[in-house]
Amino acid sequence: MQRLTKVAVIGAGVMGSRIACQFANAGCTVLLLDLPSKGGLPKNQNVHQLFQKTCDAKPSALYASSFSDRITLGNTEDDLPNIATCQWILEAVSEDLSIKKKLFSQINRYRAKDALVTSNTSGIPIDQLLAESTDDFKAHFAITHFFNPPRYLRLLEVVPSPALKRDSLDFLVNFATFNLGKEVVFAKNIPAFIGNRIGIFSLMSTLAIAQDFHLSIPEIDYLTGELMGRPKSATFRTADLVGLDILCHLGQYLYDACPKDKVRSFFKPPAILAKLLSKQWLGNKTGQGFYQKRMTQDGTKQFYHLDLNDFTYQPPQKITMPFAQELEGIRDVKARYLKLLELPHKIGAFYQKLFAYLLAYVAAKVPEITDDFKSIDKAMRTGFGWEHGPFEIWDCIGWQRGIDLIKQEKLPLAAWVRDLKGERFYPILESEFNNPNAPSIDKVKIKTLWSNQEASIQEVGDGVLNVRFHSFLNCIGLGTIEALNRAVDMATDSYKGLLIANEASHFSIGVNLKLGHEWATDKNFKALENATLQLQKVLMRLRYCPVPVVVAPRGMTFGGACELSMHADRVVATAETYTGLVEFGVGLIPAGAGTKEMVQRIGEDAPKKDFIFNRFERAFTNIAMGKVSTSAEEAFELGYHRRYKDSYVVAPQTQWQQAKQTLLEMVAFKSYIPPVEQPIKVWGQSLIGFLEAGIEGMFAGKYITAYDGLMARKLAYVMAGGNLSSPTMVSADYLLDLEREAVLSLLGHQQTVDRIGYMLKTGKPLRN
Amino acid sequence: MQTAYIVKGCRTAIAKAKKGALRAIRTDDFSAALLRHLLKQTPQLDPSQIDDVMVGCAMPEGVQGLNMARFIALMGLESHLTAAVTVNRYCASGIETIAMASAKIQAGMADCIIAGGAESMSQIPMGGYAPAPNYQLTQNGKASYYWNMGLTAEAVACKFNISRAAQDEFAYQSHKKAIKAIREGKFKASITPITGEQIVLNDQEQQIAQSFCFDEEECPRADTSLEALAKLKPIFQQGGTVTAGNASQMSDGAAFVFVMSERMVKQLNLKPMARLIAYETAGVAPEIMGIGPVEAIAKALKKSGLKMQALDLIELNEAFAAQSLAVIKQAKLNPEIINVNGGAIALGHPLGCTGAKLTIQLLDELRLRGRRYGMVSLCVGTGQGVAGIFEML
Repeated sequence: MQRLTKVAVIGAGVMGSRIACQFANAGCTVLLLDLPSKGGLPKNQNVHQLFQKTCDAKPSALYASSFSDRITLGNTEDDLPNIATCQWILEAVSEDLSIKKKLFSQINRYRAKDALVTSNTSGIPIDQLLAESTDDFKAHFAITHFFNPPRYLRLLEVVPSPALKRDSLDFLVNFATFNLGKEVVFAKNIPAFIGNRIGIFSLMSTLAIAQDFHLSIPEIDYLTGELMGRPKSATFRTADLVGLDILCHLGQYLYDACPKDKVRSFFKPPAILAKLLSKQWLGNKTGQGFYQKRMTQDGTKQFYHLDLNDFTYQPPQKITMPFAQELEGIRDVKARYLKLLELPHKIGAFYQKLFAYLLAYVAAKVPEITDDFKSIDKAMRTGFGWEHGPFEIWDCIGWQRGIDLIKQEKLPLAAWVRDLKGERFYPILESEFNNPNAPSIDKVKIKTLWSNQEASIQEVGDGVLNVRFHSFLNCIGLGTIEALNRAVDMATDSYKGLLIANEASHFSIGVNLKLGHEWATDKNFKALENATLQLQKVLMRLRYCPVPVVVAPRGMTFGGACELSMHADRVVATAETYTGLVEFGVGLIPAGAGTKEMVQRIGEDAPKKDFIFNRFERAFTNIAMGKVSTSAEEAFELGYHRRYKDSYVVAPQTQWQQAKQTLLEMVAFKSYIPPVEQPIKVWGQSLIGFLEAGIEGMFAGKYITAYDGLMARKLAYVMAGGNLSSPTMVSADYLLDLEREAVLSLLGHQQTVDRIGYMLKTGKPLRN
Repeated sequence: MQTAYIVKGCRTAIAKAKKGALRAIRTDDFSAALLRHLLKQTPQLDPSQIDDVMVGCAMPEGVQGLNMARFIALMGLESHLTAAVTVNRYCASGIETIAMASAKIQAGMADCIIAGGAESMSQIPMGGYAPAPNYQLTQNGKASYYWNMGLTAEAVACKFNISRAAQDEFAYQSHKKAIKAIREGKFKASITPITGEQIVLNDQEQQIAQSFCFDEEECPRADTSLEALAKLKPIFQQGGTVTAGNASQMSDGAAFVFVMSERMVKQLNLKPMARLIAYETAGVAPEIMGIGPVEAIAKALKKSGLKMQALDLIELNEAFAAQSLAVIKQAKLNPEIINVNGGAIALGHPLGCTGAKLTIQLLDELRLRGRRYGMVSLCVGTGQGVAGIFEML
């Protein structure tokens, strides 16, 4: 198979529908089938309803809502023959062996000869699935186990049929990796594979251990969430998310299927789960489980938690622990693990026991569930959202400490770990812990030439220079600007081009607000003006410098970082890029040349005689609402990335290479022609009149505050190029002056200072 | 001064904008069809005897641009001998033309005029394609002149204390009355079927010709309920009371009447139906445009010399339930005689057409009931109101 263009997904439940979406994201056309509706209803009503649920889900399963056009819905009664045109047929029906087997025989009747058939079973061993299959079917079969939500959880467990041809498997793995953005982990033919085996163990053992320590549900979730590098949903909220019935089912299943597990008693669903089940409190799907979501009068949601003593729901409580501030202050989770174990009294003992059981268990499961311990780490990171896998954590706390914990609990220690005799699991070189985003550019080739607190300038081979941000949240400060200026000088003198890329999960959350807030509080407008000017200048340099500039945003790329990417020759993003001009949220307008850039783009894009104000209105609204793209695809629609020159990759580990390649292509045969600065058309009073009528409507409709209105009028003024009486051609510098003026005047308002302060303190925007 | 008579009228059924039967039919096409119908009904009239065609239209641009009335006349009369004018007083355009035609005839400037209005809200958005508010106004604190109509309804609801529940009840009654009227065939007499052929794609993406005939009201909902109306979210103002359910429906349609002098009526041996005995306009603050009818009604009554009690029926355009209720309250109108066959909330409001459509609806009902005086009144954007009083003959 050369290329995958058509896929069939059978089973349109949560997983099937969402997997179909991920294939649609990868550019495939998908046939999504489910059972026909009964009782005389239109046959496809069932599949429509199921798929609609996925379309309504947030965060979206699709990069862009229009991608749903790539998915054709059908029913298994009429449309199964159509799978003949598909190159990959994926089964995601309910976890019932007999149903699956029956479906396989139907698939076998219609499938194209060389089509791949895979099953999304979460735990049925492959020999059982294939018990009655033909040899030829077996030669085209694999288990491909996705994790929910498949767009965001990157783990894909693959169990190839022993008869699957090598090139088919290679194709599957390649497509999954590069087109679906998956981290492929090979699993063995054992129950629940790797992720769920360890994940369910971890969840169930936490439930059990927590009970010994008499901690409340919010307390456990505080301790086992972000504090220890786990998702915010921690333990109980994750259980609610999974569904308590499913959790019980999985636990019981693993208990029965793993008689050799020494600590398998953890898998047995505890009494509280049974009681919740009996009340039909199954978690999120029934609205209550360990937590109950309630809406307050002003429409915000609150999570009441279950009191395990009397099974009532209690209002949210703020967790206060004496060590909280100190621990949360340690930004690097790697440095936090050891501290957790060393906490005094009950909490320290809780962590010790938790880690002891986890480490002993994962060590004992190699090689039973996988030959490579790294697969366990990978599975927990990419399937469960842990920042580090168990063995990586072990490296963080040290080999001996892990052994001591296990001994303390009198648990057996796997021989292969004992034989490490104090060595690390991962060599130091890999100590970045296989950051899933880490660039796969040969690390040896990277040479740091210059560095300050915020950023470094690196040689990344083939005559390409890179600026790597590494400040807190990759904030853009004066140090970053200095690095960018230096890099432009160096690249202009002696390199082919400039890359701006880093390996963090989030490219940059924008300009350093902390400093801005201090200056604004002190009314140091000189410093504010200078910093704004510096940012504008360096972005203009990047845009017009004689060598090409490629920016590689990923994850959160806000405000100044969005403006930075807007000034690149090319943007090579990852699919999961969340970018936008969010300045309004902190009481500002984009003044890092971003407003100027939007005005210029509108002029460039609009055909003559077009009613251009609609385009201005769209850009204006996006900025005034601080709209952030939910994918790189959506960044095209918002106008922050441009289709004809910018692009994105699905697999983040390929981003650097792709970005570098893009840059090198631009300079091949010395063909790069830098852009030439051109005058920009502004519309003056007529545009202000147009936009201000809209602002007035928003204010009268009570959708914006008076201060929002004031900010919006400043933005309108800048976008219009001031109150000129007629359309006029102006220089970029003229618009940049207006940007700066607007921002400085806003910084003189207490509301803006308050907005910035609130954002710094809470991470949320203030509407004042 | 010679008398101006309204002789006969016809209209399209009113279609839902964007998804209704007329969504893809040009305004001039369905309007010309009405003119052809009027001519057919009056074979004794030579088209060259028609002095003018006056078409009200609230958004005269795009397909409704270039003095659309002239194109309607050219197509509908199949003659280039009759000139035409497009008239814009937003929602009152359709009655404004009837008033202008009456005035011209009374002044002896004409003997036979086709007057009415036409609008496709499917094809031209509210506010038009290229709105351009005046910079100076926005700088002088008058940006509110450009409020969308929903905001003005909110302002009226607030100022005159019209509750959400009262608005929803009013809307509910409008649907009930409209459904009843349709069941009783009340609109049949004046609705002219619009027929034609459209080229569409079938399931295999092949072009096929599809003939259509549009002759039934589309907008009223028999299945609406107070509960369903109460569930709708306010759409113009956060925490507001105006919803899609208690506002008029965006729609497409056209309506025309013959206005003739006594001489012409006699010559053609036609029976006049009614005459316009007073027509008044009034201005109010643009932010509360919905209250515009109050002053216009008072002025029209005064001009006609009639007492309020003399009115047998009133068509008060339901731009919004909020403003309708405020007008009823402020002008002390008798709710029993208002919109007896439902209003724009149920039946639709094709802006420039509505004034003429309501006139036809009013005259038909007066005739049915054998009553004498009726009034059509509408609120108009940017703070205006109109009221016209008709006398049956």
